[in-house]
Amino acid sequence: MSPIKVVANLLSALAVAATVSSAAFGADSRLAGIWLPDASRSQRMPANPPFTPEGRRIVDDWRASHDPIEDDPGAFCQAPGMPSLALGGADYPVEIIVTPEQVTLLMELHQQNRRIFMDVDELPERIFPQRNGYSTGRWDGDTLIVETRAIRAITFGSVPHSDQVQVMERWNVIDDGDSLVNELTITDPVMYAEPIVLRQYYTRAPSGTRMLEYECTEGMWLEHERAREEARNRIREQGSP
Amino acid sequence: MIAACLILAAGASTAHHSPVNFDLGVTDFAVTGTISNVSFRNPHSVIELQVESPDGVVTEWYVEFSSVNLLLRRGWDLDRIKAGDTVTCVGNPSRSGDPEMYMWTIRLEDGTEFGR
Repeated sequence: MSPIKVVANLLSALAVAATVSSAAFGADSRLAGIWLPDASRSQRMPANPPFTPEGRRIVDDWRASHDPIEDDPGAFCQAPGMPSLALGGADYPVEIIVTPEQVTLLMELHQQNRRIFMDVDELPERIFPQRNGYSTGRWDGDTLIVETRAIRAITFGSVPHSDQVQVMERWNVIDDGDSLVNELTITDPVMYAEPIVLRQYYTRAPSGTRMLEYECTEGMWLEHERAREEARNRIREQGSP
Repeated sequence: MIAACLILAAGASTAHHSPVNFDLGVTDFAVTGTISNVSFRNPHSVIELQVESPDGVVTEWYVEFSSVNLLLRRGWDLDRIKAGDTVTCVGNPSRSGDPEMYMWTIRLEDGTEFGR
């Protein structure tokens, strides 16, 4: 047997082993890989969600105090976190890595990472709120069920929410492995009078797709550099004070 | 006064605009000029374009367009878009009437187009 053939056989044996091992911990190994958001099938947050009076007040206050052009959080590279980041996503891919202990979602947009802990038997007593929250998961057959809590309150993004928001997700690979659907149930007693259920679809990215970095603050840095240079020029022209 | 103008110009040339700044209903708005500066970046890329009117007055246009990641995925050859090149930018005009636009398609001097 040629050395190349030996290596090829070894690689295919490893691939089989990887499949077997993910099956062994109950995972649907098809979840792993690079996916592209599918806007044609996905549901968006309704334009008029069922706000509570308090939720309506919070959102109205935000809109009244922020100019849609000058105060666009996206212009300042602000990522809205969960649950907004699990919806939409434009044309930016998401890479999913599946291990027994953790399912990792690497979102190209805003270089956001989500870690879904698969090995949590008991929740920590105090979880400090973060934008993407604290996610725990389990496999129910081929369905990955994820619960996310301890999400920081954020008023911008597609889903304005309080720190009481909780998100239940059900991830399923469908269409013979070509598509992925995430059914989200968003519950926030402060902002919304009833749970909001939305489906976000993905298609498997074409073979050869590579994730890219998403450095976002360069524009702000260039603005700083230019302002600094102009301030120096002014001082040079006017002489030292 | 000059300093104030410079500060305003600096703001205009590095800001990122929300889509509400542009008239999305008009998609064939076109401006031709010479690139003085180009920055392929996230969340939006920017070209500063020097546009000369028939009477010889040069205006700097702020041309905003897609993130560098999406341009690469759409097959734009970014090495072919550089300072000194004359290009035509096609897309949505600014709502304010300022010399700003959002570009969806760029036409190079040799007729090559990159778009969506």
